[in-house]
Amino acid sequence: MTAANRPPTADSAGIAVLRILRDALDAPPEERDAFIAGCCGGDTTLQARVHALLGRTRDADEDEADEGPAASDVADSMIGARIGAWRIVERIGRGGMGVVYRGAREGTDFAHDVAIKLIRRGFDFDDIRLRFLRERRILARLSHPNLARFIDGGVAPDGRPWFALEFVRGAPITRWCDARRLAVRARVRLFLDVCAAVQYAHAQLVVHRDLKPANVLVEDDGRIRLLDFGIARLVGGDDDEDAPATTMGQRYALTPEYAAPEQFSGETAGVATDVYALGAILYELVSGTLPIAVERGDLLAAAHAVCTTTPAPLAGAIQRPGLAGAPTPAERLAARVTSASAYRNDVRGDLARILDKALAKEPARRYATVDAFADDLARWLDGAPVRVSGNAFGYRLRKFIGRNRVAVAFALLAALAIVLGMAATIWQAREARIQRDEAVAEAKRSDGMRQYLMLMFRDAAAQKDATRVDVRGVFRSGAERLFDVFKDQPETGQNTALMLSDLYLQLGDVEGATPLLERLLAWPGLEANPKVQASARYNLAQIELARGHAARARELLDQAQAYWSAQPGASALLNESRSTQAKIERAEGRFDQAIATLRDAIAERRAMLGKDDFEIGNLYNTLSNALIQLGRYEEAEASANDSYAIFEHLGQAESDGGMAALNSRGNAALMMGRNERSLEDYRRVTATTRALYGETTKLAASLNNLGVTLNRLGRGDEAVAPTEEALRITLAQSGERSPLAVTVRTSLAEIYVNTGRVADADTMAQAALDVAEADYASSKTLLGGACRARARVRLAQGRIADARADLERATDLFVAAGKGGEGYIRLMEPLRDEIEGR
Amino acid sequence: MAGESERVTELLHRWSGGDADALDRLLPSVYADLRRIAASALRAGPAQATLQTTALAHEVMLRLLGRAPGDFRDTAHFLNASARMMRQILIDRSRRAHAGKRGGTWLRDDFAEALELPIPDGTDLAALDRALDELESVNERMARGVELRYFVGLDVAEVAAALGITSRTARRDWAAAREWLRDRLDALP
Repeated sequence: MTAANRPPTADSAGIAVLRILRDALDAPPEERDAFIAGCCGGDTTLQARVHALLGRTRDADEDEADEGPAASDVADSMIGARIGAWRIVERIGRGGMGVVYRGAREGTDFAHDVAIKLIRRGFDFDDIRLRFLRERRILARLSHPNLARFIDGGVAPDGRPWFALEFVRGAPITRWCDARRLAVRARVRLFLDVCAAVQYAHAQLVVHRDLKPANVLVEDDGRIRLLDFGIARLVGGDDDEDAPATTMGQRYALTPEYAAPEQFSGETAGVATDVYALGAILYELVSGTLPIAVERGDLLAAAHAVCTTTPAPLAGAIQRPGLAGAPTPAERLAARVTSASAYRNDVRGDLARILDKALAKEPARRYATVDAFADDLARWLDGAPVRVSGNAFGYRLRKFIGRNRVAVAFALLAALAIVLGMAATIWQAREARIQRDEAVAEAKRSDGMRQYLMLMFRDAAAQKDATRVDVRGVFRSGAERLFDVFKDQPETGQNTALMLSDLYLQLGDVEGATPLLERLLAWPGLEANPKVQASARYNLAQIELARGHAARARELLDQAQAYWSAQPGASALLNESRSTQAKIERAEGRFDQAIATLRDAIAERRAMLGKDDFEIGNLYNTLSNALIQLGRYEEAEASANDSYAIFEHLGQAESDGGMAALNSRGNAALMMGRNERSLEDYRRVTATTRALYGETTKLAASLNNLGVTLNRLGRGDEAVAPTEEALRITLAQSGERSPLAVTVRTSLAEIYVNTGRVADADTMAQAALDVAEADYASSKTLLGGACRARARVRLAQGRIADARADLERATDLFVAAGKGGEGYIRLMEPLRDEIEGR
Repeated sequence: MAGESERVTELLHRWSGGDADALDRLLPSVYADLRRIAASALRAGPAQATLQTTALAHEVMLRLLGRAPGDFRDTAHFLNASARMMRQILIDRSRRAHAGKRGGTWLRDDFAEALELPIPDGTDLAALDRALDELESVNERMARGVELRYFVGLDVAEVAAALGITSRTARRDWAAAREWLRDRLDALP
């Protein structure tokens, strides 16, 4: 459209307002009133309209009034909306495809803020949703005292999935240390906690990519809390006060002061990137200055400086003049309660060398893992010799990749070669190490290698720009072509196929792994490579078990374990295979054997590591559940106690693992008739879940358990309140058609029957049954439970024939559920007797 | 972890194969990057090493919007043309979306939100379109500035560079146009 055909309704007075307003802005501020009066020629209405607008244009004269595209005049309609149990208060970050808000708990005095992440509106496509959900799964898995806790997840009213993380209040580590005048050694000691948290996340295959003091907070009690783990990958965080705009199409934030050289050239961030950022943070903690002075706001200059300038020597850094407003050298020394010469003596030598290595320009020359970096720092604290130069393996490996990376640009085959070549190199290095070191350390290392491999693949995955090849496609075609490509190098080919199958299993891609493993196991002459054969059999055993082929799984597992048992260096692999063994034994109905296997595995692992780890805590809880299934409640209670004690010892009592242990203990106690004891545990689970996560579906589930227990104890009156709360939370957060809603309504129906509210019970049972029949017919125990609840209602109504019909239906369903249904049938006995007696 | 760029490539194929929905997915994916690249090239001056990425941005944009190559003289021209095209796309879209709905207004929708454009939430796009035409009849430069801001997402300094005016002028243009538009759009029934 042009002016010529604009609508005839144009407001000519409005146009005059605009003309006068614009011209008035060109006049000096103090002359504008007079200017406007002159233009309006006595038209007071017009003059008033111009003045009204002028009053809102103060920013027209501000030189820095450059608010950018994210200007505050963009309202966000999510503010004030309700998601799960939270009311959205403000937006705290946005970028890429995600957006992060601060949420406050709705309707209670309970101060509980969370950071809520959603897919941005307009980005809710299937593949993005899948990535988001995967991210959510990864974060939900991260459970570490120094990471912001995953609290809840769900689906917003508009259909977008969301999750909530704990909202952390604390001071950036640099400021916290300065405020408390921590000496250099105390700073390094505190920093080790940061390393442990980052290493933990790396072990879960999560790379941070944007570590900086603003993301490393310290709470008042000195506890380190890392923010934005995993979020950095998906969400740019453009609105973060410390992050300038992202650049060159990168979808994640880049903070020039702490970004590694490779991030500026758009290469993929991996473990080495986090190592660099940690190095930069430690450098700043120690010296009070940045390793490399960068110019904010000029990314090109910053990139040049970071890629070409060597960090200033640490010993002299504290004397370097800071920017305007930054602490002076004297203030920095005071904040570290030291003198210039004492400081120099402290940091010169080993600490400087450690930092040089962490801050190396080439990713390959940095510490290969955060653990290695932390290890050297701990040695420095202890005065032991550091291992700065002991990383030939990582260096060679990365060199190899670096050399091959160039080839990637050309074709799919080249891309395939690098992926395969990388796997082969890692494999060889792994073999060399296994031979060199004794079995004690193997558990840790083999795990580390696997993580390392996964991260390398992730890095390779992001090489897509050069190749335009989907890496999943690369893997898939890799799997297909691998057998051709390596016809003449069977050993490398076999090793690589195994690595790829590990990778598939890690990605949960059973369809990809199965044909690969079957072809690998059919490779002519595989017997010559028994290590690979054993691992391949083990991988396939896990898949077969998951598919319900217990006999085949057993056969494969036996073969693998027979080989490992004969190999001196394979004790860790053997130990890790025990929980699969126990699963197979349970599937075979050999419950006693499964329990013995779990006990042995615990003892073995403990002897190997010399201490308890998270995995042993989980093993004990699995053992406890298996014992309950067998009716061996005393032992089950003891195992649950052991499990809980381990989580407590690891500082993770208040975690999902710790709560699972308490819940098992409660179950065992209930079965033994120690009702008070059981109630106590359930109450604690409920209280802790409430304190940790607030009003969430997790809480609803534990409130439901509490109510069911009280009801079974004949204390139906007390059961009403927690179960009704469970229902309220469930309906608000999961909706009426969720499986949890069916469960809670079933519980409530049975409680109402016991408290004489038969009509309410009828409504409740009917609602549970309707949803279960329509949506969850395949879930036998869920549907069976709803039938049982209605049978109780019918009995109370005196409709005995109907009650009997419902009972029979419930029984059939529980029988069809197999082993898992037996307990339900047992618990229904009194009900059956009562119905039969009528 | 499927890469962004092969997704874009695939969408381009789908779109050129007649799948109109593909454009809805393409634009949010690439538009923010494209305009950021172009805007930073603009700020850095003509002789920067980013020429190639800028050329790439132009190329992708052209393919997206179905223009013939060589249509753009320079980055400023590219951005101005992008602003016009995006304005047209958004208005057409919201017209299509509301076609047949009696009395419906054409509000800034999820698509605009996905594009990260700083158009205020709930803006009636059809009314904005008419108001911009009116603005253009009074002062074409101001209308161009608003377009660059609302439909490309440039900040004041970038608008100034794209229009070849001083930052001060761009800022005054923007302040006056913004308040006038707000008044104009609020006054609607």
